[in-house]
Amino acid sequence: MLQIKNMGDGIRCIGLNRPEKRNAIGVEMTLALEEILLRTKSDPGVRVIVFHGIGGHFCAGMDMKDFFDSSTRSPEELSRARAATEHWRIQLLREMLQPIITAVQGYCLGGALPILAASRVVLSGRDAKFGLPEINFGFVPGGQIIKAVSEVMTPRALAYAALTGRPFTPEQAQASGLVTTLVEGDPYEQAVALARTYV
Amino acid sequence: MKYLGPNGDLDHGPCLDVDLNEGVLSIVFNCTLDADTINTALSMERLVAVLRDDEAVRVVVVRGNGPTASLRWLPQPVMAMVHGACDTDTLALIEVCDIVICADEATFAVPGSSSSCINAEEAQRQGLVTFSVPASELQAQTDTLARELAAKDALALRFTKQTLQRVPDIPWDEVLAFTSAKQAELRALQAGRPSARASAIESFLAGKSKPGAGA
Repeated sequence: MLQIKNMGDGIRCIGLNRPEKRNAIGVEMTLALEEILLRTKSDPGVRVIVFHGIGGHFCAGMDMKDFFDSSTRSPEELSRARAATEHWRIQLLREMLQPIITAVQGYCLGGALPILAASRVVLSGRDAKFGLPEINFGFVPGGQIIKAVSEVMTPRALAYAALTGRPFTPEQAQASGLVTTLVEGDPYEQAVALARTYV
Repeated sequence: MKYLGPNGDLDHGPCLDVDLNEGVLSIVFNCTLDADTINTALSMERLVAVLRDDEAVRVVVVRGNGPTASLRWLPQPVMAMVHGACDTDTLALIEVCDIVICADEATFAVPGSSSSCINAEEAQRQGLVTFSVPASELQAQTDTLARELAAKDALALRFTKQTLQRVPDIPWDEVLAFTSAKQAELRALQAGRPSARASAIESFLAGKSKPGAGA
């Protein structure tokens, strides 16, 4: 679910690795995220973190089929996974001692956005597609997601994304404060290059 | 279709045109602001009091300037369509709206400054407006978005608006409690009624729609 690479010089890359689901965060991935962030937080050997997605997309958000109406998981498993999700996205991400650099390409939706909000730098490729699609399902974006995103994004852009569910472009994401810089080519390579300047 | 409220007895006075079409309630102010402002303000307050609980009204679109302060109490999304002529009345209108679409040529007064004006691009950068479009497309794009919103699950829309209004201003430790309470309430209210949610999920699971790619 995660591809962890230590690049030397204290750079740890965390790759969301479930390409057949556009890296949607399901039960296993959310548990893995909690575990790696906990382990990284207290690791003095890690000085900068790079988040990225494997297979052309960053992350399509929370995996609805795994978590919500049609989940086949046991109540205990779901409850554990939900607690892990709140732990990493509300607490751990925001308390990490190391700066986070995030490389975005392809889909970057819903539950993926708190990772961007907690990042010091977000590099986005030109093909990225952002959005809060919850309303298109008749859902409401979680307050935790809105809260995290409201700390970096203008209220107008956030209200538009959440109420309409319409996707928005990397240029709009940058204008709204969610993305730091637009890059040509592979944003992951450039995120690693940027990380090297941090160590 | 003229909107007269669920009981059919609302009188909006001479300065207010109110129409309801397929869930989109349109409010047009057709007097200058100093003409009959107090009566228009009272009409607006009566209208808003009724709209709050009218489930047939899914989204509100405001055109023109008028006494709009009471709109901020609406649980439905409120949109403004703005030609924008650098006046403070427009600022008062857009302040109570969730989504503001303006013409590319629109200009806006600067909050707190009586002399200077900014253009649409700068207004968007400052978060006054949501986006701008060529004047010739303003009406059509506003209508398209309003209809799109009206087709969404009305309860989920109201809850999304509440979340947007409430969550940025409360501390993190209250966010979780707020969210779980709201999601339980939404599930309870959506249970047993035909909802956009049930059909959207069915369609998603069947591979027919990809909500992430837009509605």
